[in-house]
Amino acid sequence: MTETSASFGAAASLAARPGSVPPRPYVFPEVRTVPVGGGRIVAAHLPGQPIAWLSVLLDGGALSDPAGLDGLAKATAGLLDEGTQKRSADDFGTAVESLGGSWSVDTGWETARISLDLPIREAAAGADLLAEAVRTPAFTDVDVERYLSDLVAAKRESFARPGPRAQLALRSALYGADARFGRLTGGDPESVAALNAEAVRAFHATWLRHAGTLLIAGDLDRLDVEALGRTIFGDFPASTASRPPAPAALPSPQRLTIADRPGAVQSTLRIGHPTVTRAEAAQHGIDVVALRLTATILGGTFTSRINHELREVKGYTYGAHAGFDFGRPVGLFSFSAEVRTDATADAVADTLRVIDEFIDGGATSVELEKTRAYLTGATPIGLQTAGAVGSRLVEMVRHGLPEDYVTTEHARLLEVTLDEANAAVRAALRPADLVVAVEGDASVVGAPLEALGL
Amino acid sequence: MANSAHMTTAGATATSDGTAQAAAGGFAWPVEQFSLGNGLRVVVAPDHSAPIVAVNLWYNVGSRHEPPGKHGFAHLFEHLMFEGSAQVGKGEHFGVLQEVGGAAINATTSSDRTNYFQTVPSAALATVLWLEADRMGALALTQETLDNQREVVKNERRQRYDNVPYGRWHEVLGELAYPEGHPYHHSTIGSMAELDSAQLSDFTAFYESYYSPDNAVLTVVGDTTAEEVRELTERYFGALSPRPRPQLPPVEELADVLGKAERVELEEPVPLPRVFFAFRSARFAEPGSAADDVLSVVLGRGRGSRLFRELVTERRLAQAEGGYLGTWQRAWHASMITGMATPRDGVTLPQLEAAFFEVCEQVAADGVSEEELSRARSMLAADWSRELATVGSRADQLGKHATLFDDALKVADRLPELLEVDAAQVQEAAVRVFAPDNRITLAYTPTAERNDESAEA
Repeated sequence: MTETSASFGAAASLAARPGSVPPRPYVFPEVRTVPVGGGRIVAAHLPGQPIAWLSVLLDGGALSDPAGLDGLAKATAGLLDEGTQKRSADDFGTAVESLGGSWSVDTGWETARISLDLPIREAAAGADLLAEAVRTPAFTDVDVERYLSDLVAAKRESFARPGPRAQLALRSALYGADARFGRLTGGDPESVAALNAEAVRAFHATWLRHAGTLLIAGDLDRLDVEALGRTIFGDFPASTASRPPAPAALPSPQRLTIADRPGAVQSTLRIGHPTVTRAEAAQHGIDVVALRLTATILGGTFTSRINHELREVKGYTYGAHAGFDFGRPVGLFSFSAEVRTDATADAVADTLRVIDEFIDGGATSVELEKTRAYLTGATPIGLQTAGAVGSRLVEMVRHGLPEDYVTTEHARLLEVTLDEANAAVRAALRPADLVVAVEGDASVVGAPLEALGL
Repeated sequence: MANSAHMTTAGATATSDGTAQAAAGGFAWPVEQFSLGNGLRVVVAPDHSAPIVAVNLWYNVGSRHEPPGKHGFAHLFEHLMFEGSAQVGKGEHFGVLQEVGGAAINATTSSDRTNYFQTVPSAALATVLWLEADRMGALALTQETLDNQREVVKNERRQRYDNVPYGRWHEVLGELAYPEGHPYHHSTIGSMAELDSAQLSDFTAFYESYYSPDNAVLTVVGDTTAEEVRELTERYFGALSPRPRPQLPPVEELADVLGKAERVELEEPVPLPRVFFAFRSARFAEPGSAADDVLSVVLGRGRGSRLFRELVTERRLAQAEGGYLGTWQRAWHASMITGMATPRDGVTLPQLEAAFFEVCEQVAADGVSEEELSRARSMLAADWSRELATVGSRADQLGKHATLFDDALKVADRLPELLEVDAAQVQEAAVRVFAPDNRITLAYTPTAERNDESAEA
């Protein structure tokens, strides 16, 4: 309690704080896996849920982009609903929306995913539309030209906003600008300007005309799961695509890289290094649940060490965050924040210091217990919607995890000791390897950043 | 009721004992409402499908209450609410919630209201109510905290408004659409200069004026019962005293239309030319407002909307990115509909603006088809399902309706009202909204182009 408080109402009228509550067990919804043709269905049962979430996961992500055509995988997936052999682009969009559907596309490094979230009574009609888009897109010259020219403009706009260029600078510093993995999944304004209809058709024919995984989250008592799967994958063959090899990081990257943004009133910071994938973690002796706890303490919440120091103590930023992405094919630890220009170098120095101190001293038992309770409670709170449950299915399929992994990891959260938590973060986070990427006004922030002597 | 936004109400009402099942389709959960002796209104909607509970507080205060020279203070004050109270130390607020497994913890400030919310395991309900009561009853306000949070808010302003292309568009449109001195004239974030001038005494006064139990609605949704909430709210909030609120100067009622067709051009370092539009529209839940919502969806939301089909696909004048129309649903004075469009290469802003208005005016002249209406209804019905899917947003909707109508069950009217809008009402709305003297155009042109021109000249 601070001494200069101006309090209203007699403090005597305030009740005392209630006692603590024990953590509760949590059980993830029942998951059913069903083979269908050359593919399979993975479905989570959500009794009573009025919304269904359907998502088609196919091989063919950004690592499959041909040389010089960064962004092709993403553009191809984005064009699937821009006209089919049966319907114009406008009519297809109208059909989706007339079901109350929300269409989305997510292209990663290895996979493309097309999702439709809609009222469950429309699920069969929704599956027909997913099948129509995935199996029989028209890719007419007119539609593709329109879509791609808008994409170039959108890319120019997005690169004019803070963020993408900082992210690109970090990836290039870690993997080299010549490696596909050293650039962005969606490409940049120049690379998407090189895309064309022929390349889109070829990418679709090579990568997307095969069976994959249909993910479903919804009330399975109201869905004919196998029929939905047959509608979408039909007679498509199983994917024979071999996964592209995991990209190798540069052995000794430059530790500071600046993307100039003259006149910026804030600098965008990205600090990070490569880490293992989820599947490799165990081989490296890293307990991902223990690491999730320590990563949350370091940079995952409002009260994290990093946000507390940079926002609440120093007032450099509106918010700062750090965490591990155990994505495929390579994981990444990264820190991100937008800080005011005159505090840029100080913010970088403070961030590195906070991370150093965390690795040296470790988390405290108070932090561990608070964070354990937070993550335990947050699990069911974060899984209220069909789409949220679906995102855990994506993780399960992408990393080959067991059907009950959410339940077992939730149980494991309750057991992790302080030593295990600190050992995990020390195995996964290497302060000496962190690369600092800054998008900001180089004429102002350059010299102070160089003076840090990274 | 003096503190109600709307004197006229319709549809479902609570039975005499305060319990009622809201109309099917609009809201499918039982709702109980009661008030404590100090005026705190409490809404409970039990749902035992998961062991979690959402706690939401609507304080009936927003940037519309800010006096001249103190813009942005309602929002800055919202930040101070997380910085400690009589029994909670600085920086401990979030920690208290995390220790009990709380998530989805935040607050937002708009021109109309300030809401505070969190979702926790239901066993921790008492802790949350204790925490909310502590900051309602005895907030700790210190110079140190004010200075720190002032910097945080200034960074928020930089991040959201000043360091992003077009970042100020809604702030500029608001200033053009509402007269100087009107409660909606200024943005919620405020200006750097006014934020710099903020004194601790401004916030002690603000707190005393507005953060009083009789100016709030507390909503609890999830794994609980009305009996439990009644007992806990009495225990934690019952002893807090109501406080008087200042009498604000009366606000002159705005006309149905802006009474002008204004065009403003801004040269800024933006990557592409882009145009934003504002139209005056009906106040939330007043006659015409549901039709305005449907009109916006028919014309300007989604891949199948009329503006997208006409301007992007058929006439190739606008880019896919950033073409939309949306209602602000402001509840205390006339609202706005805003829109945006980006020209394709080779298309000038005036060409695009003319085409945009032409498509809008077509609806006023010829109306909309049943297919278009049906698409809009499906989207709005699915939106509503998604909106009510989490206990947190369900609580926010109940709190909103309790604040505005003194009856949370009015929430059940929302969807039926939208679905009942017919083609004739959409056309009527279009005639009003797209009247020639009801539009503001804000055109952004990239600075670099102008520099090139002047260099050549």
